[in-house]
Amino acid sequence: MNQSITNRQIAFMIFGVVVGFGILGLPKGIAEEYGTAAWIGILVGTIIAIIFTYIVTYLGYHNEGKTLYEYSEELVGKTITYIFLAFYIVYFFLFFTFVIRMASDVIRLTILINTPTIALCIIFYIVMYYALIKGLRGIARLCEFYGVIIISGYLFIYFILASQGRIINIRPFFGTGEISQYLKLPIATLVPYVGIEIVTFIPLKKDKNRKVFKYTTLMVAFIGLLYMIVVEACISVIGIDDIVHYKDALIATIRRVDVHWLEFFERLDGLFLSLWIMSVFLTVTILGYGTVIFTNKIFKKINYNVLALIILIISLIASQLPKTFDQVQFLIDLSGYIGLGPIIIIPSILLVVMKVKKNNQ
Amino acid sequence: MKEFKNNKNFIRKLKELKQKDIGISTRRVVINNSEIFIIYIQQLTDRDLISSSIIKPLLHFKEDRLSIEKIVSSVIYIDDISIDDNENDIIDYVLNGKSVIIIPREQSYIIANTSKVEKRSVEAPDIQTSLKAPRDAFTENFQTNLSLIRYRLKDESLKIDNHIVGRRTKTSVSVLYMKDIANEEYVKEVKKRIEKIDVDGIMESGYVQKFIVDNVFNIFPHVGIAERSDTACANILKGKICVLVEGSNLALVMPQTFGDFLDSGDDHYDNIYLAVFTKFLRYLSITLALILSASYVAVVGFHSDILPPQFILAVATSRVTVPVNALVEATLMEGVSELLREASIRLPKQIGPAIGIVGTIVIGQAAVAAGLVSPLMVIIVSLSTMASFAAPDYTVLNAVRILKFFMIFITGVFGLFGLVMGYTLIIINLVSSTSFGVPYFSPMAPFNLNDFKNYILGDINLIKLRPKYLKSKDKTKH
Amino acid sequence: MIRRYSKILIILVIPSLILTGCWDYQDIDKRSIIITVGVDHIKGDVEFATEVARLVPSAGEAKIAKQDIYKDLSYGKTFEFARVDYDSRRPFPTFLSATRVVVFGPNYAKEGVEPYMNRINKMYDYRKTLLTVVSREPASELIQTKVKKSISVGFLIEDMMTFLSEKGTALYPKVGEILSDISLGDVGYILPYIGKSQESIKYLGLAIMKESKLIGTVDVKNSEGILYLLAEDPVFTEIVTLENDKENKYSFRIKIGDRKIKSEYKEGKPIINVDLELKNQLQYQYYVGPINDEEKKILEKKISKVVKKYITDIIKRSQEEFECDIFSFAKYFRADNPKVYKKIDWSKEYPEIKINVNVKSKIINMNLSDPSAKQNY
Repeated sequence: MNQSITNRQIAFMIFGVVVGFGILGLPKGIAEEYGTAAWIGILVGTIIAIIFTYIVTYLGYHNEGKTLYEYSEELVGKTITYIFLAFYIVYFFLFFTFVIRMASDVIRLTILINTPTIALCIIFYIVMYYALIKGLRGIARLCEFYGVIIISGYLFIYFILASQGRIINIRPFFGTGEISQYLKLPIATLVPYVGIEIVTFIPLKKDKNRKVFKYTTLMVAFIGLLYMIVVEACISVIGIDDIVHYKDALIATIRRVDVHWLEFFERLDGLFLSLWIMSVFLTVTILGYGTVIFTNKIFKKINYNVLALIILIISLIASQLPKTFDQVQFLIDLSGYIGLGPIIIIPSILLVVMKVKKNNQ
Repeated sequence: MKEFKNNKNFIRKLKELKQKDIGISTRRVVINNSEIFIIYIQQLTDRDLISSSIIKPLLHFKEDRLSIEKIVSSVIYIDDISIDDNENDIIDYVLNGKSVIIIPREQSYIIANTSKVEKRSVEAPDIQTSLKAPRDAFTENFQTNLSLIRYRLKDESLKIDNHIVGRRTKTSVSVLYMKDIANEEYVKEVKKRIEKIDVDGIMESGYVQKFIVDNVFNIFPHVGIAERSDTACANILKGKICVLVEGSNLALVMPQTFGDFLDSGDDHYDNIYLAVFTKFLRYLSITLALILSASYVAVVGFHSDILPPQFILAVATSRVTVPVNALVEATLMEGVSELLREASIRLPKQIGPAIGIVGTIVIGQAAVAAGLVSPLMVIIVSLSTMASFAAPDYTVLNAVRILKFFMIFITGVFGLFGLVMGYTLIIINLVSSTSFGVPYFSPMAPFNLNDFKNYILGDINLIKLRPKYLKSKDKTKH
Repeated sequence: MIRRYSKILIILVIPSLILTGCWDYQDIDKRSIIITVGVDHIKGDVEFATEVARLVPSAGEAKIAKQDIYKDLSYGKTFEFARVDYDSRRPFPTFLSATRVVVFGPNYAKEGVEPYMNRINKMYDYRKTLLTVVSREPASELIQTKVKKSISVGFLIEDMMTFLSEKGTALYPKVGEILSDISLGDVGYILPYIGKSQESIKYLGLAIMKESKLIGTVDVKNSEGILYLLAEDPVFTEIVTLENDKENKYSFRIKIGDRKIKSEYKEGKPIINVDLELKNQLQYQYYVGPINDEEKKILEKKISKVVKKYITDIIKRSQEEFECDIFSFAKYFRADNPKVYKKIDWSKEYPEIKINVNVKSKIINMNLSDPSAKQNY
């Protein structure tokens, strides 16, 4: 099966998986740590994320047409590869399962008060299954198409928000000015970038994907810029003291804005929620694909479509296990932290091994 | 001895055929004491031609020795003539409108093409009408259609591959493409799929279309139709493949992407701003047709709060008298409009407009006056119905007409969330399917800037390259 | 194979969800659309006074329903009990998204409106951009007023306030902004003050809220100082005279060109510098007479003086009478001196801090008239 995809699609897949559920609480998370110097925190996080994006892409690029499973097996042997793979699978699985649950909960709390969470989850899973059986190419094209819609929609909303905000609220630009404040690097700045490791399951072709580094790193940089605009726009509207109280800081901000000249679309929350549901869907679909494709490497005999169905059903059951919002929140945070392993530790190990082996030759 | 047996067989075959009651006529001519039989079917042949070009020269023939070769080369006036010796093929020739000339004691027989088919003349198109476009539409006659294409494309690399399809109808199906432009893989694929067709009869190009699509269950059409010869030729020049089917006035065009369905031929030579504007309008209309009623349900039934306060009151007051909820109201009204549409297609042309009047005035006005539906709903349904007429190729909007109801239902249950998820489902279908290997949603996904620009501008003067997604052999347009 | 099954699965599941579903479905015309909410404390009970849209077709003609409202009251120990009482009078579920105005009665405003502000913030269907006002009369009395100028009190108040704030003579604080101020803690805020007059509603001025409690009001006549500092793009008219001719008055339209608030921290004291640049336009003179350049300068200075007095007066009042930073100077101070701000207690410091007001004004045009035209014939 020829599953190679274009650079642009890879870039948009990164956008699709990274920008999703997290953007809702991002302003709160960053503002809590950095205050009005939030943009510095995002900048630092972005730079680190770009470095690891480069590493992950480098691994894929120099192991042509292979996914993590194949090149890891060559580099560190079968046993360790299985451990790595298990790591990825658990993390992908946890993440997409509980993002679906969390997103359904948020939807239930904000627009569909009486609808049971499980019904919303089921719709997510059905549509997701339909996307999964279309394979990597279908998902990549969906990301490409929705990516453009989401980016333009988000930018529109953020600029409107920024135009409604007050500059006094985002001052002082450099926070309290203490250097130690910028250096502490809380993990909250990296978690929003969880997802860049999806490059590990996209087989790259040297001839077709020559400029892939440019695309992936620029996309991560763009996401950083987008995050900056979001956070600053939210702070400028709500103010630094109030924003930390909202887990759904972005929705809270949008609901405080009425744009009279837009007449019929005066309120932006409908538009925002649509875009947000789309981006959440992209996140879970890509991660779901990652789970299925890596699981398929272990259970080679099972048909891809059947495996996808099995995993999604398990995931649906798992997503209903936590009883309270806090439990779900905890699991998402947990999987975010686990996610740092596949982003930082495993690619670093593989890179070092690859370099050492090359030098030995 | 063998010779004798053969002769016997022709005559015997002839007698056999006569007994079959398929309306075969035989004309017996005797020249210099030797018999000649001319076999044909009166309804399929040009009888004047037979009398004047076959019988008359034969009767005037005075030389003594009469052989098959002699007749073919020196006697008969017919242009299209051939010789065969398989006795079992006689029936096929005759059924194809040809005349078979048998001389007893000869080893082979002559086939003279004297076929004549009743046909209508070339007329203006009915379904792909356009303001600034040639008006020569295809007819049901195969040869006429071919001649219309040949007339426009005077290029030696235009290939016409003939296939005979249909066990009983034995319909000619031609695959037309430019040999040095069209991608061979697609041509091969099309031919392969046509050869695979195993059915008793082909009446229309739609039959062929059904058999050659990628996935029968796909809701969107993946094969385009061309009613006008200029559309067909433009597509062939683009690097696409055109399939003509005997007895059908619609040619098939493939591979066809979603964008191509919304691309009318005259966009390419109309005012450039207008072309961009109309293209935008068509996409808007397809979106409206799909989600307008569903949005109404979402807004009235779930998220009235996303409207400005004055709109909320306006919507609420307009709905006060309506006894049913918005979901039922939308389904009902969309159903009625679909019913009107279906009725007006089936009606004779003369009463068609009457239905339009009944639909708009009686149903719309009366339903509102009776308080059965809200005036807003009538506006929305009319808008979405109107929007569903805006595509140059109506087949793509048939899918939208069905999906519209799906969207209304899913929105009725899940509100905005359902709307977005339903929309996503449709988009996944669009982006992941292919038409003969070409991504259906190109050039949007996979995105190609050049193709996209060309597609949006569509100006014949600015487009220097053929669409990349068609992977044509000749990339440039000169 | 599985593909076909998956399709069957989808085909089966979606309709079954549809059949069991529609959990949240509620048509807009089957909800009670609340237009105005009045909140007050009466004899220890919370009182809700509301205006609700009545959606009944007008008699005779079934086509289009007339917009109409009805009003009612409900009581309870807390908001929740009052809401229970309220809901028990309702034909349809309550719908708050179209609410235009929340009116706080004087009793409730004096006790503190923060709980209700938080309620607005967290109730999903309340808009965060709605207008809140304080009324002079008890909220129920204000809402029960039969107004002729509009179909409801809520519409009237909202339209009035929109118009006034666009003109620059009133403030239109949205709930969202007030919530930000509340969470900042050190600052007070200002709400419009509304009252009943001549069987109708009148805008009376501004209500000063300290720690969300009503501590005083500023009459509309004295509110200019506040508007010069807080209103967005306000337009004022001022009348000044020249010394030599007291009879001739000059009417000016004044716009704010630039409003800069800067702060510094000197010798253990915060200092706020307010710099205003005014752009003046002469509308007309009471009696047409020549104006020379010197007189122009004098007029400019006079305007500066008048405006400066407005501002210093109200700042003085805020420091001495209200003891509350209603102008959000704290935000500016924090932006400039974040470290100092952390250490000091702004709300205690505020009455003591020094606020310098500096007003510059310039006459930018004379409304196309030339009062000192030559008369050479």
